[in-house]
Amino acid sequence: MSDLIVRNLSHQFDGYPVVRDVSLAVGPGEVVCLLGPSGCGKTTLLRVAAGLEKLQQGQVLIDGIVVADADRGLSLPPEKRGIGLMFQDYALFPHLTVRENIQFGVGATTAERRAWIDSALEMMDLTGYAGSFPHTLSGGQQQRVALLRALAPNPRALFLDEPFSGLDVTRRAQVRQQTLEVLKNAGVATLMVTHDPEEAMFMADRILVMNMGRVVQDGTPVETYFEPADAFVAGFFGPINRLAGRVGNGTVETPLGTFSAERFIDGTHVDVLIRPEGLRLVASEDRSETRLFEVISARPLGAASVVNVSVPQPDGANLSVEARVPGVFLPAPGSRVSVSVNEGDVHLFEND
Amino acid sequence: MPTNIATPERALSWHDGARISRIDVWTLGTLALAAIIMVPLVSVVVMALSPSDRIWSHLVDTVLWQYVRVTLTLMIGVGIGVTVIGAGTAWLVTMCRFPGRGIFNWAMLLPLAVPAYVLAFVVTDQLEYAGSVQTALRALFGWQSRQDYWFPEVRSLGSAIVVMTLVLYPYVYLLARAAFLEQSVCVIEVSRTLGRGPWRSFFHVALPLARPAIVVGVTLALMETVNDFGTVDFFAVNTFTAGIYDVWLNMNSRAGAAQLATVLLLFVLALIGAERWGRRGQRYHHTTTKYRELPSYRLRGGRAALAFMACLLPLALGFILPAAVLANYALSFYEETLSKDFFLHAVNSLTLSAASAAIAVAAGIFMAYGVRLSGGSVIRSVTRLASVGYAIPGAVLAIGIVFPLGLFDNAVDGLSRTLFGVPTGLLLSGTIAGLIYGYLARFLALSYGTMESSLGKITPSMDGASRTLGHTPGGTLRRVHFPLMRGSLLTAALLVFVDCMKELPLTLILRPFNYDTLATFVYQYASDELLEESALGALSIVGAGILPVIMLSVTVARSRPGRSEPDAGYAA
Repeated sequence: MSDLIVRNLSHQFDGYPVVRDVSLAVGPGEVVCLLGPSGCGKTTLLRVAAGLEKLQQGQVLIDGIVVADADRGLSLPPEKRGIGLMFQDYALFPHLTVRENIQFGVGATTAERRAWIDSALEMMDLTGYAGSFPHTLSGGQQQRVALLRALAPNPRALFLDEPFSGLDVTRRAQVRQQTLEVLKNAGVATLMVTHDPEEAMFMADRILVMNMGRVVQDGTPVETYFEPADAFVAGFFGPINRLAGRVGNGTVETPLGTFSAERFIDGTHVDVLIRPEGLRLVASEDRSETRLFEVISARPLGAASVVNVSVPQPDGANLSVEARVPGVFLPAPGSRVSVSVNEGDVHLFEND
Repeated sequence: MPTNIATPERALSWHDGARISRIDVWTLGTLALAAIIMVPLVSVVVMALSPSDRIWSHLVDTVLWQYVRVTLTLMIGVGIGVTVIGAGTAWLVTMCRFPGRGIFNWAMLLPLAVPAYVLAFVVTDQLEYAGSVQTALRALFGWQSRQDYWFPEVRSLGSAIVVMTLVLYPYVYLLARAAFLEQSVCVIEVSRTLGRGPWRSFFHVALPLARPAIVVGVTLALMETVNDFGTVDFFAVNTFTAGIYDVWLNMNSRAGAAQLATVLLLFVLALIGAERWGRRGQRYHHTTTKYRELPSYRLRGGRAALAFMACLLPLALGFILPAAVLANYALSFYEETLSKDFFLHAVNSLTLSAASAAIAVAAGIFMAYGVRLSGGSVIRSVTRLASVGYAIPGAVLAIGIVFPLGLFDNAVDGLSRTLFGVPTGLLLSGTIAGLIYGYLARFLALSYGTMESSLGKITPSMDGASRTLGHTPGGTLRRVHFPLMRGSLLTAALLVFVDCMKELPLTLILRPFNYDTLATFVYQYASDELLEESALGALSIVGAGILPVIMLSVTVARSRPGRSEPDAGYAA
């Protein structure tokens, strides 16, 4: 039993397709993230599912009830769908106090709802602000009020549109944690839109990676990170080194080593993608039997160091390859290091 | 976990009104309102195109070219006048420091409160043979009669140009001032570091940058110019507007009047085009968002005195003198005025204007919200078309209203006679309802524009938040938008209210028999050279007109470089 189902939804703006045949399901208490670059159609999908954009093609079910079905010409207005939506800019009503904002969607303010609001305010450290106006609150406080306002009517599905993008980096971790707790407590099916892979991995039970209007991968955070479905997904989760190669005898040979490529037919051109943390560097004076590469630069990041090495390509050009090494490892530029690759961090995709 | 699409679904909820294709009440209502507002324009054109007994060729042979020539002369004269005075004083006040600048900054707007016809009456009263000026001259030089000296003809095209320039230059002043303030200091400083003096900087940098704003201001002033009836009628200047009345009421040819009105519409369309062009240009002229306190050329001695006089003269002639003359008369003659049903006229004016303002604001917000909800391009262009009413001269609208109202009344009357044997007579023609309809057709654009720009400042996610929290579009408007727009609602109501108080040509034609407002009362008495006895009425109109000027002045006085200026539409 899923609380939010989208079937075969497509959407166009002025004839230009923005969402192409997307289907998804969010179970009760589940948090699903739509992750993708800006313009990939994720926010449009969310707005159509919420009823803020008119449905053009497909079907939306909330709590097992069809709320929109293009084939039958059916579309409930957003106010009849029993949903909550939290906007990127929070959209708190500036003329209402925090408490009035939260009560805005609650039809009859029963004792039970009032108790819920009180305890929710307390949980979000907002008890003292119930009578304040939104503009007097900090960004983080506004974000929490917006979340409570969306949850207060006890929605059957909750939509979050870039819920943390307005916060500065230092506040984000804490607010994310708090938000996740509230969502899990409420047990509501949550569909969240974000362009930040780290945020998606932290929040989501499942991540749907979107590109050009399509869902290109649907999996758990671990799956999407470690088993990306294509080069786009692999690249979207952070910096990645890209080498070209050609499959021969079930392997592909690169300047950084030879990797197993049994999935591909011999002769296929493939992209070899390696995350920076998949490279191990050792200073060259230790041994000299492995390949040695010249260090271009080395910079400390705190918990890790970023080292760029120059890797000669078969065509003679040099490629700058980035490695991320735990701790402080800062070889002098111009010195030589050996590079070995953790095979589990290598992703091969057909190059087309 | 793979996406589970094949979940069993519960019974479908076929909700009433859930159809996608449903046309909602907002879209329908907005289109209906726009259509009602468009009726006068359409009917003028229809009337003009309907065959008539050689009236057109007669007009061409006799008066048409005179109307064209006089109207164009008037427009050119007023256009030059308001540009020089408006842009010049705006530059002095924003860029120079001289005694009185702080007061001129907002006071330059005051003449906007004086309707042109009121200034025309005062000017004539003072300058004619028996007026105080000629009397003083005769006493001074010992002249005995008209033959002893030369004095310019008071009731003339030249006077009309001067009078309209004096009350309409604030449109240009307001917009030019805003444009000068918005200009980046850097641009002007760059010009000065490149060796251009203040004067050359003004003509080569500041003025060209402000040109779009000045164009908008001048077109607004010219729309008022072609709309004017009171002044040109009193001065016997044969403009199109005067001609429409003449052909319609004296030659008794509605078709001829409609044809003249259609030609006048071409003038107006050109003005609207110029205005749009100016507004479009305005957007591209913000080269930087950095502002600092503007550089100021500190003027001393003779230059300061010149700047002072340059600002004082238009202000004195456009506001201080007429207000003083009227106040003086009002004090001396208020008993006569009060005995002539002054309070009745005042109550008529107030209730009529208040009712029109309320309806205009309600209709304006309905249309603006309808456009916001639908977002479609069709409804957008239809409402834009409907909001040209403000540019259409009252005389043109009046013709366009009388005709369809008559058709409507006859139709209802005929239907009632055949069905019930009861004549209904004239239901709308010559009634308050017809008059309010006329006001709406002309001033709805004011309230619509104000509502539209105010709604535009509310982020659409507010609507989304309210809708997803379970409120209908109407509930959202009431609970979210109304409280946020309260200030603009008042502004719109005030603007329409004051314009209705001042409105003369529409009122003269559409009012019920024997029904007078302050404007028609003043017009009739002043036309009969009885300005003294209607001075209190004229002063009341000016007093009401000061309200929005104060409002604008407060915004102007508070505005600093970098702060947003009042929307130009507010002043329109």
